[in-house]
Amino acid sequence: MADLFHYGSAAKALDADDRYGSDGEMKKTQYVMQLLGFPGDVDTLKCLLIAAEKGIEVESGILDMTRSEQNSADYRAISPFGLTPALKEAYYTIAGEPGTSVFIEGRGLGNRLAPRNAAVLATEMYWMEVGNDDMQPHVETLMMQKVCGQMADPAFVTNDIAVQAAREALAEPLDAFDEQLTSNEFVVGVYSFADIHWTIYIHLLTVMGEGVLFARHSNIKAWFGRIKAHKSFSGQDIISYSFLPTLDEIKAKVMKDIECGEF
Amino acid sequence: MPFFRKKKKEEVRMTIRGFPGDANTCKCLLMAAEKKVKLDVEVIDVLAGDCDQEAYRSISPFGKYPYLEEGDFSTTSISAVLSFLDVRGEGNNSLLNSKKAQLFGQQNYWSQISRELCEPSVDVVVKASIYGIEGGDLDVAKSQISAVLDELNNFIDNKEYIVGDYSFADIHWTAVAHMLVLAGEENMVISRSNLNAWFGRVKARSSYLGLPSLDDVKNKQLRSVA
Repeated sequence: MADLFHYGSAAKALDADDRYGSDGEMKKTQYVMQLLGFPGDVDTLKCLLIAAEKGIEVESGILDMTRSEQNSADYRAISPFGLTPALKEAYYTIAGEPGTSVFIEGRGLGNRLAPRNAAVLATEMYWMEVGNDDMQPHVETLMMQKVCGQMADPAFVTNDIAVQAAREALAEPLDAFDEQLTSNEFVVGVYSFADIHWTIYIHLLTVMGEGVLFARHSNIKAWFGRIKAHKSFSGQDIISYSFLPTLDEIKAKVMKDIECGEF
Repeated sequence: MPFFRKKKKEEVRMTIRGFPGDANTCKCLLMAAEKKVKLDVEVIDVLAGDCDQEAYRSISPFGKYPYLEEGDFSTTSISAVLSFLDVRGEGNNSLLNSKKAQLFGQQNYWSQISRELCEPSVDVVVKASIYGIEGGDLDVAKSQISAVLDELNNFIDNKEYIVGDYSFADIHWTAVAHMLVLAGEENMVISRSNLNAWFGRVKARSSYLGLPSLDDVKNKQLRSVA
């Protein structure tokens, strides 16, 4: 059975000159995190963005979901139910977005992303759940129909009815999201996990050429402008959004590593 | 007479709208009891489509439930309600989320497994056995539940609770196990030794006593958390 995490630093000798951390620079973690996922996968991108926001360096590995590698025996040895993405740090492995997100968050730098106030926290959770239930399935349908279907099978024919149904289903959550942003700089006021989730939905709609779906939503557009200029939550001199894949990168099955650099 | 008297903590009293045959509603009752929140209850009959009615949609635009209100504040959806109860309840410095990143990750992993891979099948079994509603393939549902329970049973070997300390993961899985008991499928839990031992421990907690009985579920009634 193949070890899917055998790439990057993990594939190098412990004393290799170019191994992560060998330059002596102290990081919070001595181990680099490895994230195994796919650039067209919503859950993978949420975790990638959290790593960038929290100053965690990540070596990305591709789990080719257009070839159903999440169902392979090798991947099921890591994630028995095929949940994506999967993450490894030293001897610890976790799979699925909710588990991976909070692990990265907890290991990262700076304040917690989750609000402390009960009402604000509940509002954050509500918008994450609206995203998961009412946005994500339709964004994934568009991703399959417009991008990944053809990547999996050149003979794939886009189902126009499914595409149209997804577009129509996105109207209500986008309307509600725009209203939520009326008086908030970020989803619940302060930057939080809810912004991470919705950044991925809006980013993927944008790269798929579906920006017209929120073209009339001025609050979403203004918020998205702030997100694209948002400096790392943990204070590093990076723009987290810049690590998200372009359409060409999704098609080429390329995912950037997270390199955080200096404060 | 003392100059200073310790300020009495404001009593937390909330109202929840939910459905007794719904695992998510049961989770909120558990959380309220664990965190010593007094909870008044109102039933929304989700089987009769109450959450799709205009009046309910005016307070929960996407029809999500359970719905919780405290004074002027209200929220809806299971994640939001559980988090709110956790923070507002007693022991503000001892939230159920683990402070250790590894355990927090595992807690959320098993919560995701419960919500996405087990509860939809449990719902099929509950609807069929308690309400006589045929909404899916029962054999497929039971097979899926068994596969997930096998994994959980292996994972909790030598653990008191799912990730060590009592956490959100135990709230999710207690509700699942309880629904299976009500649906006459208790054997799916107790036939697995680790799960059986874990279930004994969560049933011994006082919070378990507030969960709806089979009669409550059949009669679509909820009991307040005192």
